[in-house]
Amino acid sequence: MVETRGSFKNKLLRWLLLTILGLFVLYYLLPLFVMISTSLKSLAEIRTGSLISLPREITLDAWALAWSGSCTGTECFGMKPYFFNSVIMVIPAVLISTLIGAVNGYTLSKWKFAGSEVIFGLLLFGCFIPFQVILLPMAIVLGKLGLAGTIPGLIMVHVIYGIGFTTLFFRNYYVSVPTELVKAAKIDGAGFFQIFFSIFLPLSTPVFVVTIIWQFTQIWNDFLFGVSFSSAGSQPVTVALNNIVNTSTGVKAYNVDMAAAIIAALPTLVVYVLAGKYFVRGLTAGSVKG
Amino acid sequence: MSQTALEIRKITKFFGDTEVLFGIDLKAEQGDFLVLVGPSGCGKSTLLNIIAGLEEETSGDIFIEGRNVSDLAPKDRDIAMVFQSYALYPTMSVAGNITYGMKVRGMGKAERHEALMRVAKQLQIEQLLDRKPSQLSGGQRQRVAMGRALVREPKIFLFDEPLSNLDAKLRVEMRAEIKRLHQRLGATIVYVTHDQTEAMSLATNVAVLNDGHIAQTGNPQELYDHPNSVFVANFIGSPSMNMLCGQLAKGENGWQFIAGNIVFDVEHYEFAAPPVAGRNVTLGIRPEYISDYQRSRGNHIRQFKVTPQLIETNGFDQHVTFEFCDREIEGRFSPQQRLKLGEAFTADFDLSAISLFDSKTGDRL
Repeated sequence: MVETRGSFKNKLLRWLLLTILGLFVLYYLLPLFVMISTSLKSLAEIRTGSLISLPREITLDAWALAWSGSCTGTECFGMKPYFFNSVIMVIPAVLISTLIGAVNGYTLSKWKFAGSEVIFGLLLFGCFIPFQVILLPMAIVLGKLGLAGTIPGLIMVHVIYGIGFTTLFFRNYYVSVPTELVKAAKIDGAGFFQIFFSIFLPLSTPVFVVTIIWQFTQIWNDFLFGVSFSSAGSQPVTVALNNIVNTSTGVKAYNVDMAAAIIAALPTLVVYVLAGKYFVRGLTAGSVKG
Repeated sequence: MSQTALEIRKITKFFGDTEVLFGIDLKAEQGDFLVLVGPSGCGKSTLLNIIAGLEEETSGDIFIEGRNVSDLAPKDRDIAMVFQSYALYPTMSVAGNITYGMKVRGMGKAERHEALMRVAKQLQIEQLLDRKPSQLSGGQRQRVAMGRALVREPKIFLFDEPLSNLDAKLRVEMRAEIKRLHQRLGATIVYVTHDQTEAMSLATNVAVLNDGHIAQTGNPQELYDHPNSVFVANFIGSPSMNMLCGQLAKGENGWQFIAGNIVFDVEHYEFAAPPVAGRNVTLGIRPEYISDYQRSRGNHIRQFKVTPQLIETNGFDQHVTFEFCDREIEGRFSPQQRLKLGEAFTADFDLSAISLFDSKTGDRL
């Protein structure tokens, strides 16, 4: 009898837990729902209907407008050119900062030298410097290099700012790899880069996934560097979104704003959906067995 | 005349301000199995890493077959090493692991394959060549790690506690295998361990390290029978040597060891230096000499009544601990003896193989 009562109580608690979790899920998904449903409505419907009602008539006009017809200031090309600005900025910035981080992490964990801990400490400190602090000095540096207002300039800023994080990720991952591997490879005659490429890189898939997702999200979502260090032709998608939403002549086109916002957020969403499980796995990946 | 395979001359090592090796001199002849043994932190692994070139000595020189290799990179020293964690490359197959060094050195594919097959056959790991290290058992990993060393055909093999990750049974098996390998190849091996049993059973030559100094070198039996200090006496042998504190005195029949009301005649003892009466000394006697087995023909047997405080049996022996002369003493008795806790019985003390040490310095007298 006691047993059944206990299991009944357990069941009840379980359902309570699931209900609470379900409510949280709904609460979190509500904004996304509102955005998607609003982006599929016509302006007329938005004006008459309520915020959370489903669209009576689905229309993709707002999406088309957001993608290639909405206006940022005086130009009306939509999000498209800025989306591709972001793409050609993000890809090299993520790859370069991740690779540098991998080599840094490998060096700082397996080839320690006098002062390597200090260097690591400084890199770590770099992670905690607020963006605002480096705006002016960085602007001066970019100006001196002739990269002000260009996409390569933005790439450079993101690479520099990202190295602290990528180094931290890789260093912490490689610390758990037995140093005896390096010793064995040294006796086998391999050098610094040979050991890195033939032994450490093949081990690094989990940490690469984590670092790439992290860097991709950071750089894609960045607004401050984008707005500070770009000019009219080189603005990333986040800046364009801001401009579209703030450029209002007359009626506010909520459906276009929503569609534009989803377009801007889509790549990071896709990356999470595709690689999210590797992200969690990579973050918790332990030492290498073998 | 074969050349000295390994010669270590006055190696010192500092980590910052801490000296961990104090001028080590050591030699291994061709075909020697030299075991460096000592408690953890005695510097034995550091010394091995210095021989391998993985760590740099602060001063001193390393010679391998007469060639000074102190300034050479590990790969140019003609050595191979087996690590405690095996250090197999986790993403490579067994074959990849064994041939990696040859690949790095730019050896041809056919040649690599030939060498691989030779070693695989020798170690009976032919069926494992395509597996990844994570798919191998501890003993198999151990074998692959040895294969990686064997394939180099080096002048010296270095082993860094290679058995400490294995369970007790496998450890004994692999130990025998390493010994057989050594006998078959006649290779020179330098082997580091903290386990004196391993050292005793494998070595042709043992160097006991303590706090960065060599406490004693010699073949295992020498170390066991004639430890030159209290440290070595305690470290070698399990259970370790019993120690009694007392004084030397000149009696009617010659030198005596006196501890309280107990007097041992030690006239037969071969003193290294002339003994001095009244000196505080420590008498060491191994547990198997406190026994009911007749070890020697009874020339120096003394009998005492003792009372067991602890009886441990392992099937072929009873290890009995009792108080004697204010010390806990251990003896080994045959299982036929019906011994009971707290019930006194007569134990034979065979004084034919005692050791005497200076109580102050710990050195053998």
